[in-house]
Amino acid sequence: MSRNTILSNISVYSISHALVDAACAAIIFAIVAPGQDEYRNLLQLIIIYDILAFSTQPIFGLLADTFRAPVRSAVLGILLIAASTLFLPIPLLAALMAGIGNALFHVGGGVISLNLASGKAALPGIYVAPGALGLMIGTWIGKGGHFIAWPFILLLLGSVVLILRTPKTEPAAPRELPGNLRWFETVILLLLVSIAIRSMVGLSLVLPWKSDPALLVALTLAVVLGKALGGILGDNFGWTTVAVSGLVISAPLLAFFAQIPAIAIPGIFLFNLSMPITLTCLAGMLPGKGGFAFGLTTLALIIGAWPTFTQLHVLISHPIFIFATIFISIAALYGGLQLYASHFSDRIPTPQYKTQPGEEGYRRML
Amino acid sequence: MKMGFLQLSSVLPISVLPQQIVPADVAPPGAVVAISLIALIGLGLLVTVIVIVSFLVIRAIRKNRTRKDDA
Repeated sequence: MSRNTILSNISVYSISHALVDAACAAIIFAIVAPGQDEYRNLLQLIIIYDILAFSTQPIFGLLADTFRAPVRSAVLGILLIAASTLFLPIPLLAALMAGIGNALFHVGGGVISLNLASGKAALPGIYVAPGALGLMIGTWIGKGGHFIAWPFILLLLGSVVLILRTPKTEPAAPRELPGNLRWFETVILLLLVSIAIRSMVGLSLVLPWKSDPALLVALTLAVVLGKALGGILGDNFGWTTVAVSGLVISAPLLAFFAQIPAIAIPGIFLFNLSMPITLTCLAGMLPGKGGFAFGLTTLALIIGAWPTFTQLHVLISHPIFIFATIFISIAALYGGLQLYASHFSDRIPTPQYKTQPGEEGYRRML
Repeated sequence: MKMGFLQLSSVLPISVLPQQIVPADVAPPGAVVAISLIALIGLGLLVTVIVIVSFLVIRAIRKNRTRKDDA
């Protein structure tokens, strides 16, 4: 794949990702803005949207893989989100359309980024990272009552045009998994457990200083940079080294110093380094099923988030609990990556990275 | 309170709508609560079904690979 194809695709899908997440957050918070005192309704609408957006991705991913239609999935998702802005007076319908649209776009873009990546974690990380920025901007627009539909519709339609004009990517070359299939489900389960725990920890952290706009921007940038750099660092210094050491260092920072922004923000950066590595490793376990693999990670995210929607959130936001669960996540991730490296991978990046045939464009770009 | 034309056509931000659809100290209508509850229970079931389907798909992928290895 040429360098231009890689660069144009990853740029278009990453920017579209930020836009899609911004639009969805703005829509959801704009729906509830007129009746903000209806806290329960707001919470229910957000839960409905989140569950639809995250849990349906394995199914849409499977369909995108089966019909080899990641671009169509992404385009349909964006169009659904744009259409949902016209249904704001019917909140449930708007949330439903935005949720499904979001899921369709994410798996489409996810497949494209995994196809571009040739088994490396950098590009999926760069694709996923801007979502947090989009969420922050969209939430600010929606909550602040600044939401107006037509600019979003225009931008979303513009991103559809860009996606359709971008050179098509080649589907990932079919690859047989080498090694012992006895560990197949174990590796997948360990990676998903690690993701679910990280989701639970991320949502149960109490960061009271987030109400300061400057600190919120710094926090969001830490998430974006963590995801974007996690893959690049992992490809260069080894997946296990970067993902595990990032989580180990972040555990005390987040568990015991979450009240101090100067410590918590670097902790969040380190905490997010493992995200693209986990995703790419999972996709490596399911060759040719990138959409399904991407969907499994978001399904794990929503399952991990579940306790935070309940009264359990009081228990799980306790520092000792956060510290312990991050270490369970580390154990699961370490086990999953080690099993993958020893049984399934013919190309897991290690510190002594060797370029493989057909990856020259990718290497030149990074 | 209905939205005005300018809000519906998105020329004006929605927040310009007069506050209060339902007064804050009054419970939402029973139908709204029922619909929300049904929606949440439905979504719980949806997630359960998707988890089961995903598990079956993973098993199927593995079996498919095992058969290829045997052949």
